[in-house]
Amino acid sequence: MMENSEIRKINKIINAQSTDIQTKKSCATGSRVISFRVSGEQYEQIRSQCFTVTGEQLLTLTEFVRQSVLTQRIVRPIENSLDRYRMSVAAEMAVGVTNIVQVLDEFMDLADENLAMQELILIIHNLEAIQDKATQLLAPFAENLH
Amino acid sequence: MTIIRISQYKSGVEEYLEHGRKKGRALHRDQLDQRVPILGSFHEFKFTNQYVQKKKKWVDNYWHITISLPFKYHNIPQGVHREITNEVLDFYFHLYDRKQLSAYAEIHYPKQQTIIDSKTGESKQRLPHVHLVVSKLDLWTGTQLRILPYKLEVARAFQIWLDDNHRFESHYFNKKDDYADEQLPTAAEAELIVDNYKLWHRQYNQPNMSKQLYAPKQVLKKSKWLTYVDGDKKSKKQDEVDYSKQAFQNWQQVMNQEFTQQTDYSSVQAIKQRLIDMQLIIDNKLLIEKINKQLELKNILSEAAREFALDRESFEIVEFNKRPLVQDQRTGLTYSPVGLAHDYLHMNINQSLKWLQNIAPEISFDDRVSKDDVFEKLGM
Repeated sequence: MMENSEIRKINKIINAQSTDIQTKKSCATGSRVISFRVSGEQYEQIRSQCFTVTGEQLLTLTEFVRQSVLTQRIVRPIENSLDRYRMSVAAEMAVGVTNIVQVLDEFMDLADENLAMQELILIIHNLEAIQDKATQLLAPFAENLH
Repeated sequence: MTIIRISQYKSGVEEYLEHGRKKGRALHRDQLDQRVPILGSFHEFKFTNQYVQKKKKWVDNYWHITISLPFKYHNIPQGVHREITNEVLDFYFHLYDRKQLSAYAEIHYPKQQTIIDSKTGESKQRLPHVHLVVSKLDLWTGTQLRILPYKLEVARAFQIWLDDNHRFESHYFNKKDDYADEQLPTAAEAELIVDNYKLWHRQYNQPNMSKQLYAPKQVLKKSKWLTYVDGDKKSKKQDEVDYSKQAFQNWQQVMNQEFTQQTDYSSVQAIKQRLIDMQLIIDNKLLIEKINKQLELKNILSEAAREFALDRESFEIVEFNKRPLVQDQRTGLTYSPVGLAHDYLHMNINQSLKWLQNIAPEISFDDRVSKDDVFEKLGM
């Protein structure tokens, strides 16, 4: 995420483009198109604000610029990466647990009546403990508050 | 012949899996089926689905895939169901690492054996089937997953390959007349068709990490989509209070072990049940032998027909090695009383023994080792 000073700098860039801005009116809706030029470096600065580090686009460049100029002086799109991170960790735990169970299941198919019951129970206890932690991990999302 | 049906929905699958709620159906899931989780965690899928419903404005939020087999294969082991499910998942979502998916699957073994078809009024045999649900959310990028697009030729090739892989008869080859005009691929050719299609999909549809698939305008409508660095101090303070309260509540639940009381549905529960069943069989060996010897098979079949809508006409009592057994005329398979309850009616051992005890009150079940005894013995 960028520093506040950098975000202010971007808003300054956007506001300082008045000389390069062209407008075109749409006949049907009365809306207007504004196009303006920025340098390659400035473009990258604006663009980086709209994407996460993994490349997910949080909002379009147009929307970012519109909001920056018209609604708020400083705009920062929120990403829900923390909650998604929690979900992906829980999913990864579920995949791991499924894989272990699959191996145990195959082992039980091959084993006879005198199979190592106590050892299997111990493994299951541990798997249940992992599951409990996954449940805790997914405990009420901060997002649920709003 | 593996039948795969795929559909997509916005919501409701959790309700359907847990309670069996469906239009025109009165029975609860617990009366209808024995649920056996085989892949992923129900809890995790539920949360992901709630997240998608709240955060994304997609037309549909998840795929619901059902996998079923004809009656002939109704008693295949759980492991085969799991293998097929994994193969279906790898086929449709070949572009992704399994960890990117929020997927969950469970087998539904029918307790209620037959059901009246609402259209024809005929009695229909219910079969074990797998429900596989996959959230459309790519957990790593937050974008929508790209499923392998449907193409008749490829879907057919995949079915042929799947059947061959598990030594099932393929209906394409059984009903050759229906497909007389078409050239059906061999299993090896089918595999090649599937691989080539996947290659094409990978080349032209590789997920673009920077491509956004949900509308930003919808995100903008939400009041909390922006934070303001110079924002309102009062609301920021309120946020901090709310978060602290929630964190405190969560910790209280951890301390009171409330989370551990919420049982998650996953394959761990299924294997635990299998282990309990194995121990119950060992501990009740003598009682099971007594039941199998003394119980009147006619009474068991009548009770199964009354309580679980068993197709009574398909069963006959036969003698094998001087032992009376129940035989399914459609498959030729034979069952002892406990075998019928456990393997055919899909009750666990504890339920089977209880059910048989009710049918034959004259038999003494005093030495029955219960589930609680096993729990204590195994330290559960």
